[in-house]
Amino acid sequence: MIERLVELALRNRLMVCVLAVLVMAAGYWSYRELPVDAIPDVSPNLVQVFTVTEGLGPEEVEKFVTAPVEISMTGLPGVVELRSVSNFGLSVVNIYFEDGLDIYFCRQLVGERLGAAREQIPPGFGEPEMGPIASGMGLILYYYLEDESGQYSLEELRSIQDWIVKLQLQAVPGVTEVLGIGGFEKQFHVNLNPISLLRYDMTIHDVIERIEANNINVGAQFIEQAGEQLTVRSVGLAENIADLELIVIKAVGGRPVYLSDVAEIEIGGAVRQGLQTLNGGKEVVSGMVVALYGANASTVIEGVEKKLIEVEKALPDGVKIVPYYQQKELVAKAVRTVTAALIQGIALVAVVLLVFMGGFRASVIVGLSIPFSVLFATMAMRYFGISANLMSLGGLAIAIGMMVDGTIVMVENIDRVLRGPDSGESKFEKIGRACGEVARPIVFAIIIIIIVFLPLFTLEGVEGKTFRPLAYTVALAMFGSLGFALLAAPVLGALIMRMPSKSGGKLREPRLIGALLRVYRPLIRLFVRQRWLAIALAAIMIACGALVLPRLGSEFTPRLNEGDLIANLTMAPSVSLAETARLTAIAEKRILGVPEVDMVVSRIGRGEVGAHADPINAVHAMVTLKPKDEWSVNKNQEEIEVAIRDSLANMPGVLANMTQPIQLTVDELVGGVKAELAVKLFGPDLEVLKAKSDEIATVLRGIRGAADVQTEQVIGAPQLVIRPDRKAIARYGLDLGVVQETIRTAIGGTEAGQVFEGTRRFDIYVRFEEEARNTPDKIGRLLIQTPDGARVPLEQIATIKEVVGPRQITRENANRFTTVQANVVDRDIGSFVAEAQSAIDEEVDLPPGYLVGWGGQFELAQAANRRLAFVVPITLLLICLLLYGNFHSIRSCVLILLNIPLALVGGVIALWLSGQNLSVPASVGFIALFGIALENGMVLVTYLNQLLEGGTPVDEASQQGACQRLRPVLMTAATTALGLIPLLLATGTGSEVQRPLATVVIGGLLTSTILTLLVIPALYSWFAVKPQKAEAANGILRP
Amino acid sequence: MRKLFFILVLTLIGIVGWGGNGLVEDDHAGHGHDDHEGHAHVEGDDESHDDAESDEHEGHDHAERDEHAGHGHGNHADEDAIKLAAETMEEFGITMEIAREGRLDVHVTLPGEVHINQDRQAHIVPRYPGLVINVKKSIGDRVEKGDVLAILEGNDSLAPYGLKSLIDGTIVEKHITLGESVDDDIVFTVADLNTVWIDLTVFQTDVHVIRSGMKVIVSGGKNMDPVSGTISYVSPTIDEHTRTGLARVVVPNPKGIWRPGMFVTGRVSFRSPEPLVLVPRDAVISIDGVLSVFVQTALGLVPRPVKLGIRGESRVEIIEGVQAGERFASRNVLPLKAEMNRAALEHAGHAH
Repeated sequence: MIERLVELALRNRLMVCVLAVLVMAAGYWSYRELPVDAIPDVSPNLVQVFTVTEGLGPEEVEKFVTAPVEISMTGLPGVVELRSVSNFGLSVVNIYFEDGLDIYFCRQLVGERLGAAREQIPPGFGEPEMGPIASGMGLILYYYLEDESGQYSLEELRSIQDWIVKLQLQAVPGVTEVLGIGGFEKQFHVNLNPISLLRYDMTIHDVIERIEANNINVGAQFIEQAGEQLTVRSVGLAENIADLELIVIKAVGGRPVYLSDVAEIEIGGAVRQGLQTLNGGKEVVSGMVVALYGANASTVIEGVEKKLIEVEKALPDGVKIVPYYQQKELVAKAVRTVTAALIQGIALVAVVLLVFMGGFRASVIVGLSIPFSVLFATMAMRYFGISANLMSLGGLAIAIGMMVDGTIVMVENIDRVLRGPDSGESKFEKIGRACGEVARPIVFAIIIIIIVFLPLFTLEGVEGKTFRPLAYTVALAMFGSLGFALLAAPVLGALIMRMPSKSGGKLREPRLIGALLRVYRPLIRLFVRQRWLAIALAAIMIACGALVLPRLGSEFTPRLNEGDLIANLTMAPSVSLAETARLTAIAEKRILGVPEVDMVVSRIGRGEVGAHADPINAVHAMVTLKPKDEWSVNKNQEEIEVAIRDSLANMPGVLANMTQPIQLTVDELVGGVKAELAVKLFGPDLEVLKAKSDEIATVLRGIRGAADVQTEQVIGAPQLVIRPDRKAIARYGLDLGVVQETIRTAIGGTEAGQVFEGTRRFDIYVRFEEEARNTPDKIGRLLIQTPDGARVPLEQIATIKEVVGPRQITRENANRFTTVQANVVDRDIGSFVAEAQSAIDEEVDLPPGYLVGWGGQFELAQAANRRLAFVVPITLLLICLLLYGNFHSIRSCVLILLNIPLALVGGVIALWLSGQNLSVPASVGFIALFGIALENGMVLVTYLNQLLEGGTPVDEASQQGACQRLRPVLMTAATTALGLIPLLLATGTGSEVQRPLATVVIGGLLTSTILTLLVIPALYSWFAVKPQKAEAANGILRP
Repeated sequence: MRKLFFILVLTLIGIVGWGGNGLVEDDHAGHGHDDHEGHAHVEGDDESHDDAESDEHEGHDHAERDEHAGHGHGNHADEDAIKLAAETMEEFGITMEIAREGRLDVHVTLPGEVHINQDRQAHIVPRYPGLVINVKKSIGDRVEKGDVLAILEGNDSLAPYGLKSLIDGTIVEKHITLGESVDDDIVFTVADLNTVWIDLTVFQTDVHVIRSGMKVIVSGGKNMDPVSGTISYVSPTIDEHTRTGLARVVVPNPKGIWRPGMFVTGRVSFRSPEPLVLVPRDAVISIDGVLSVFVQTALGLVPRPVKLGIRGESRVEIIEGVQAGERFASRNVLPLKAEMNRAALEHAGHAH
């Protein structure tokens, strides 16, 4: 069938050529249109529901907001997990959906249920809303507003941000949201003087009512006049402070009492939960641009940049927009790294072809297979919606060497047949025969390479999302190369390659091959005669590998250097915003002490809700580095990181760790526990949870192998709890509601309408003046008016106590929990868990209603192992079936499978020598290696089998076949290895992820090539198919 | 997760291994296993050794054990001590002070009302019932003692007689109209407004602190200069209706700006009679719900639980916990608290 396909191609040469050109053109067009990202998007399939509830403590947020939202979300299809955080003034519910569900579908499901949730939330406790339609990669640009004139206040700058910059940028296609932070949201503050209220015998509630009633526009239909229609409007909106001041709140004996009689009215900032500082404490206003889920990051960024230039013109003189983080730089750098590697790889492969093929025409055909396969892959990528990124392009880079293999074998065979003895066939017949000989093994070899990548598709979570694009592109490129090898290569061979002229008909081998053969021929003779040598060689190599393997460290995916750093600072949970800002200023100054640092911009707490829900004790300091050529002391990112970490060491009250922008966002979205093991304690009472989780931590620490045992900081935020005394209230004839309403509005304040300045709206915010409410003592002395006119200080009818409350309340599937996390060293985690479980059962006495759950990375690993235990055998089975389908001989299959261990050895040793760890990309390298090793084995064994069928004796066939296949085997190995060399040597952004992979493949190819060339021919006679002596062969099989 | 590929690799080797190279798998797996086992063995030995030792202890000496525990605790306290370099202290604005004894000024703000000084007011009542035939003064007029305010014609005598002011002052009430027949009702109230009473409302919670003789600063809101006075009277009873007591201040009112009926606040100040150990409010921080002050010891800064007495506006009295003469951290102490928690955390981390 395959042969017929090749024939068909040879008959329709023009058709094939046109088709090939079309594919390449389409591929090029697709490449231009492909969405470009830095790295694959690894964010989980997540819908977030945010509810801002001004001024509420975590307990109330949980009870009145989080719980209703959670309840309404249970039972949605496809929900994997429901996690929530109830913070001061903010509820975040994360609804994790199964991967692969359409995000808009998920949002629709959530949106439908949100209606029900809204009804359950008491009025005034906030509106639940879904977060932006964005993924962890969505934060594409951060900027701050620079006021060079120095005449704009932080309120004004924030207004510029909120009403000019934000609105403009949100109009850019692909931008889903622009979130502001820093400065103050402008408000009209009505600061009531409690004494004045008493003086005029008014309550705060009366005042709010009066303000609201005196700040409206109304319409009154129309009147007709002289045939014209006049619309009647009454304009009563307050437009400025003076208007507000003149609001009459009461009339006593004909004399009006104005709002200004009981309050100071001023422009001020809204209560805030975050701010932004720059270079040592200067406060700035800043914004972040969030790209729509699935949007092409590079196009959106382009649009935003264009818009920024326009917007800047519309800003007041002296105000500038300064971007301080741009994802596009990372995208550009990452893509540059891989494309450079791609191009260099192609160049190197071309050189190899020239050297080995010894013929320009043949080299051209083989060389053409690279652009064809790459462009075929990009075409398919566009079709399947795979973005161009570090991983997908990396896949292409890896595949370069393998893409040419099929064509090499094909062209080499055509070359050989054409040069072969003149059999009287025409050129086309010869080519047809040559292609027919190798078509089958080529198809099988390429399919095997694709199948080898199968386990990668079953990876889940972050690894899966990271490496699946790579597997896809490798597979696609291999399909492309298969098409080229089978269809285009024979046609091009027919068109370009010449029959050797009769005079020069002598087989003319390139010089290099000749030289190699002179060394190889005696060697292979020795090995074929002395088989024990081959076995010894293989055994020694495998022993080396086995020795080295345990010495390899293991790590997760090596971290991709994004080029920008973030220093995460964590303060005491009880810290105030002002104190955080003070400490952050110190930290920023210290970071600026590192000479390579250009700028530090810190985000403290949270701004507009939507992307982050950090409490005010969390600081993310974005560190921008100077251009690389200005780095003086520290030469690379790791060193700079260490320098920054050192500079932040011994800051009392500040815990610092380093991360990177995208990494941070993704980590936040993925949530969960980063440690290997997490003991989750579920239960209703926070105090009990804390106490018991401390006990669990103690138990865990006592178990051998435990490291980094940490309990979550759930408690530690001070609260001022005002607990009204019901008896006292009754004594004064008061209403609890009235008392609490007074507490809420007097201390916390409340909104009473808005002031319109053109289209801008600013809240009117009413509360007691600061001196009346800024200490617990003063709050205790707030006067409450009793129905019979008496006034009681709050402390007389309520107990006021400072207590330590929860910092935040975390829940999983609607149950409160705390985590104790730990890593396990020098020990198998399974036995550790078993021991820990029994120890906790024994030593920790849990009250009823408390449950212990076990999770963490180990759980994921176990799940993955279970999956792999299923997938790997299937993969192997498929490979075996394919091999068997090709050879119809179990012995040949086994001989080829022997390639795998020796290939592994090389990879392991290469890792060890280069000082790298066993990581996920290294493992991907191993997978690629299997494929290549199998392919090499196939090429050789196929030929040996053909020789044997031709009647050559086994030993003779082994030697002769090995020598004749030296060229293709060396070529396929060399192209693959050299194709990866640029990745191995690259130092640009993203290279750290590809390097282990390249190391493994190159190292493995070295050893597996040795095996293919020396050991396989030597052992061939044991595995050879000898149809005439089948019984005897069976006997030999059992040594 | 990282183990997973390890396992993948091993599985592949293993599965391939049956093809004649079983030695690879055995060899390798054996190695790994041996390694682990060996390790476990050594550690296990150590542990059992420890156990044996502690068993012995338990057997013969309980007291020693207790002492040991006590010692352990002491150690823990030592570890709680925070040592910071002088530059770091300066960088973080953590200042040190020496606790001194001093008297504390305490302030209580009370709402109040301006009342007429009832010791300086006169009710003008007609001597005989009669008919009003002339009203000479009107409300608000300033009068002197002896000034005739109105003229009445006695019902009995039909003779006119004048109603005279009994004091110098201002007419604050007038219930008399020309032609009216008056009985023995109060027809004029003349008040001397050169001084007024400020009646302050004393809440139940403050009753025990407010005494006569205390200084009060009275303010009437913006645009009014405050005036100071002294509490001259504290009511011995509590109003059963409003549950408040009363403290009275007599203040001079030469310009008449303190008008009776006006709503004012009085800030009562008093000084603690005895010298107290005082620290700034900012030096006191709650650690796990216990109010503490960071005191300098030989080992470093140690949080010391304190009991607070009177709380002034900027300083508070320490009843227990800090002695006069001790050095303590007086400002920006939050980093110290956080540092303490971290020390505990890191300590715990190393404990295994």
